[in-house]
This record gives sequence, C-alpha cells and structure tokens, in this order.
Amino acid sequence: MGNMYIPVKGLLEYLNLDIIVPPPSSQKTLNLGVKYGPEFACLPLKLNLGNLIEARELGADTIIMAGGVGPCRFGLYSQIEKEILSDLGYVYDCLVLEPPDKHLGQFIMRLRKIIGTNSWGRVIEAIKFAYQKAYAVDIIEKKVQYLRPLEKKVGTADSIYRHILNTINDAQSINSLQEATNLGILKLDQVPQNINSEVIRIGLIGEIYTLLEPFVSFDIEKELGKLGVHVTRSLYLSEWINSHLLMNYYKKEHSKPFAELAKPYLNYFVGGHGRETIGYAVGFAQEGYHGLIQIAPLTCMPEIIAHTLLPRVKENYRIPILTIYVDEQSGKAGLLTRLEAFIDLIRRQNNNRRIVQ
Amino acid sequence: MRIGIPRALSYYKYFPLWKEFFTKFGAEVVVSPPTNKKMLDLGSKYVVDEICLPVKVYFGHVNYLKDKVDYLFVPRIVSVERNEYTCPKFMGIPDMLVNIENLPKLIGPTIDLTKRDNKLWKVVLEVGSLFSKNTYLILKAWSDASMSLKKYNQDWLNQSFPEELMITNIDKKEQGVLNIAVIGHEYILYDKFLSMNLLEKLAKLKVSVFTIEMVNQKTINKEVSIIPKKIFWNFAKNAIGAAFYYNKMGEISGFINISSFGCGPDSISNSMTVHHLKNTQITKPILNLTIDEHTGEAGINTRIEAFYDLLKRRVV
Repeated sequence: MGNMYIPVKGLLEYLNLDIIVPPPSSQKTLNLGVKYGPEFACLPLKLNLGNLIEARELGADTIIMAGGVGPCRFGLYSQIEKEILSDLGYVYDCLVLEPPDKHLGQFIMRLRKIIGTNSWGRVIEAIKFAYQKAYAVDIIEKKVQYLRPLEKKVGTADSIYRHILNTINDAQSINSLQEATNLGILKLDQVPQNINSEVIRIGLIGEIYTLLEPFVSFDIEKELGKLGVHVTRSLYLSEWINSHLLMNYYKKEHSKPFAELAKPYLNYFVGGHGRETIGYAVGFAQEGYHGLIQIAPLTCMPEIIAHTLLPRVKENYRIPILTIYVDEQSGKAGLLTRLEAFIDLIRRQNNNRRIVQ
Repeated sequence: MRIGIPRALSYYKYFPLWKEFFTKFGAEVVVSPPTNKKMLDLGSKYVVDEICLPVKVYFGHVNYLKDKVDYLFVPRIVSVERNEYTCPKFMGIPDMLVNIENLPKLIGPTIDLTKRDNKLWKVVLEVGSLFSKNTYLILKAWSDASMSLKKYNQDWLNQSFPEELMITNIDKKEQGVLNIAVIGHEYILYDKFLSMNLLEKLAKLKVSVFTIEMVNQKTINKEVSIIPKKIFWNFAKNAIGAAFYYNKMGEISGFINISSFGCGPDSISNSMTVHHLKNTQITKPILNLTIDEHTGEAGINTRIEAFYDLLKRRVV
C-alpha cells in the first residue's frame, strides 16, 4: 500500500528481523490476485493476495499484516488469504495486528516470535522510529504535492521524491533519518517554479488503499499535477498510524474533526473510511477547495454509502465532486479523460465566476 | 396512527416483533405490498447504482409507503449480537433515506449491540415513549412482541416456513424427492421478486428446502468455531455455520447459494464456505446464483433444472 513498506521495514529491521519487501504492485501482482482471489472481492484483497504470492516466491515464511473487526471486509483478509494460499500449497505463519478476539495466548506467542530477544524498551523505540519514518515520508510527499502543479519541468519533484524515499528507507537511525529528510526538503525547495500558474486545489478523498497505492489509482496525483492541480488527501500515512495504531500518542498538527463535520450528512460509523470521506469532503469544501475527487475500489461498502451522501455536500457548498471506482478492468486512458474533463469544468467555472465579479 | 413498515431487508427476520409491539399501542401497522418492478425502479433513483439490489428494493418500499402512513419505521440496525455487524449499508440507511423527498415522520432508533452498554431495553423505551409514558406498559408490549417473534422463529426450527411468508415447502418425509440446502440472505430468498421465485420453483420440482433459519444458534456457533478468526458479520456467520452443518447431513444432496451482485460480505463468506467444504471429504455440488437487476428468468430456470437433474442422477 503505497509507502507503507517504509515504516514497517523500519520497525522490523530495528528489531533485527529478516525482512522481505514484496516488489511494488504491478500488473503481474494484479493478475495473480485476480486469478486466485474471489471474483467479487474488493481490489485491495486481490492485490494483497498477489503481494503475498510474490513474497513467497522470494522466500518469505512469515507474514505480518494488519487486521480488523469489521464491518469493512479488510478484517477478514488474513483469514481468507490463508485459506486461498493453503489451497495453493503455501503454508505460512501469520501475525495479524488487531485486537485478538479468540486466542489472546496465541497472539502473544506470535508477537514474542517477532520480538525475539529484543527488550520491550527496544520495541517501543522501534515503533517510534517507524512512526518518524512515516512522518518524514509525509512531509516530503506534501511538498511534492505542492510542487507538482508549479514545477517548470514536469517530473522534477517526483524524481527527487523517489530518491529521497530511498534514502529514508535506508536510514538506520534517527540521525540519518533526520539528515535524509532535511536534504530532501532542501532539494525540493530548490526546484524551479512557475510563479504565475493558476493552481486548482483538489481534495482527494475515499478508501485508504486506493488513496495510498499509486498502482491502483493510476498515479492520479501525478496526473492531476500535470493538469495544474494541487492535491491534498484526506489520509496521510503517519496520521493514520497515529490515530489508529498509536491511540493519538503524537499530538496532531491540525486535526479535522471529521465526525463532527460529517454529522449533518452521516451520523454513524459505517466502517472503513466512510465517515472520513464525508467529513473531509465538508472540511475541504469549507476551506475553499475547487473540487473533490472520491476514489474507491468497486463494491467498497463504506464508500458507496459516502458516495450516496456526497450530492448533498455538493449542493450545499456548490463544489464539484467526481467519484471514481477502480477494479481490475479499469484503464488509465479512461481515468485521464475523466480527470481532464473534470479539471476543465472547474477552470471554466472559475473563469466564469471571475468574469461575473 | 398508521405506521409503515417496508417489506424489505430486516422485515423478514423481525416483522412479528415490530407488528405486535406497535399494535399493542393501538397503532395500525401498514406493510408495503410484495416487491414489484415499479417499486424497484422508483427506489433506485435515490441511491447510487453500485449499492446492492436489496437496498434499492428497500428504498422502493419506503418510497411506496411515504404518502400512505403517518410514521415510517426505519431502524438503523447496526448489530444484533456482540462483536457482530449486519452490514455497512444497513448502518448508513437512515442517512441515505433523506434523499427521498416528502417523507413522513421517521421512527429510526439505532440498534447497536456491539457496544456493551447499548442495551436493547433502552431502545425499546425510546421507541415506546412515542406512544405511552407508562414504562410498565411499554415493557409488557415488548415482552408480548418478543413471544410472537419466538413463535415465528420456532416455526423455522420446526423445519417449516412461517405462514406469513406464504411459501410452500415440500415436506421431506412425505413428498420430497430431493433435499437441497438453500443459502441466501432472507431478504432475497423470501422476496419472490428478487429471488425470481426460487423457492416456488423448487417446490414444483418436489425439492425439500433447508434454509439457514432452520438451524439453531448453538449448532451454528459450534460449526463456525473451527475458523480461527471471528466472522464479524451476523448473516455471514449464520450462513457459514448452516452450510457446514448441512454439509454433514447425509440427506442433503447439494447446495444452492443465492447472492446479490456486489454484495460485500457474501464475496468473502461464499469463498470461505467453498474452501472449507472442499477440504472435507464430502463433495456435495453447489449451484451459485447471482441476482441483479435483470429480470429474465429463463437463465435461472435453466440452471435450476440442470442442477436438479445433476443431483437426481447422483442420488440414483
């Protein structure tokens, strides 16, 4: 899922574990997942399954993954993947990071296996280190999002971004991490920018996997950057880790009370990020964003609920909203056409408003 | 006072409970007629296409009732059992309903038993307070209503369909030629429009039908306990448990699984069921039917007949 491998690798390497990071998601990954996964399962399951198969090909014998307790399907991924893979003759040890509902003893045993001889103190340091990595990635990424519509030469920021991600990934200590981040910020600050560009601000909302994994979103943020768009997402990795796994241990910079904002439209938890999608939609609209794009896997239940409710947000704030569902049949060309048309529409609306004023 | 109850989704599981409760306060309970194409078409306007068919049907029923009643009973049923959810779509329904114009007053309590301190009796008192200030009366009405539901559920456990559903089932002991376990959400299976009259078709073939509701909870919980991870959807847990149970029942010849296109939980639970059944030594055939908005019955009929033929040949 996007850059998540960076903090996770950071965490596990700090604990001296032998890590295998599956190759980045590709058409091969997708084909594997589609072949062996349930037909109507959501796209993230199929890709995740493909990732696991590719990891096995590289020799992995233990899987660590997050879990859940519903109602989003994600909570059952680990179980169903284990079943599918065992049918393929791939048996592995699996530690699922979620509130254990049955065998607390087993969970602790498995956790011990991962922790090995490390002290609990070291474990806490490792978790902190992983979070710092995620945070560093997010700082850099936000800068790149800002630069993409402004850079004189398309792709400059992204090539620096790729390089910085590697150095952050390789950093073995807080110091080298800090160095890598500072260097990254310096380099990005030096990217030549067009001063007079008319930049459109778009809020990108939706389901976490499609938001963070560029393979399934067809690099939507880069493509929007080329169209002169500054993208802000409703989800950033470090914020998600902080609120879902670390119980908000780190103080949030400017947290949007998305549940409050969503209340007039959606007054209950519906699983996944349904409420976040509505809440951030309202938040972005209030902050004067020019438009919103919702992206989600086909059949994603919480996002379908959000999608049904977005028209009222659209009406109340007069903000254009585009919803895109992705599945294994999606094609980049189709997505690009829709993006171009959408951004065109927004630019024209803005121009008309200016003429009227 | 007329209270409308849409004949969709949770209706099939809880209707006697609600009818009895409201009637005790002197209200007239109005249920929408059985689903038809027009209702579905009108209901679909208010939701996005990707939402599943049963929810579109629900909106169709709500839309039908809106100008015929004073109140609409549209509870937000999040969870009926600890640590188990219904489905995200159920959980978002009251918020989505607002898309329909000219709705009457809504009675929309939230029933969420995942949380320890959400006790059902609090919800009962909340709803009851619309009719009476007398706590005893409200709780008595609830108690009577619960008895009605118990009797309804007992019909199932006695291996027969409750009369209210008006469905024939061939008694296996007397006339049944084949026994088939039919697994599907109750709001699809017992809706003649959505299920394309599957149960009647099976009755015509003298097939005796076994459903999820006919298996008691204790058995279901025991059956699913072999899966290490807890199934956090109430229906999926029941479906998987019933399937495992029926798999072991010698007199069941095969399974028919009916699902709505795009159903999230089913996409996972169907796959899990098939995996586990495959790993037993038993090999009962499974027919998968996916329903969507196409109403042409020829395809379904052909497949049911072919499946029937296949099963008959195996039995012989």
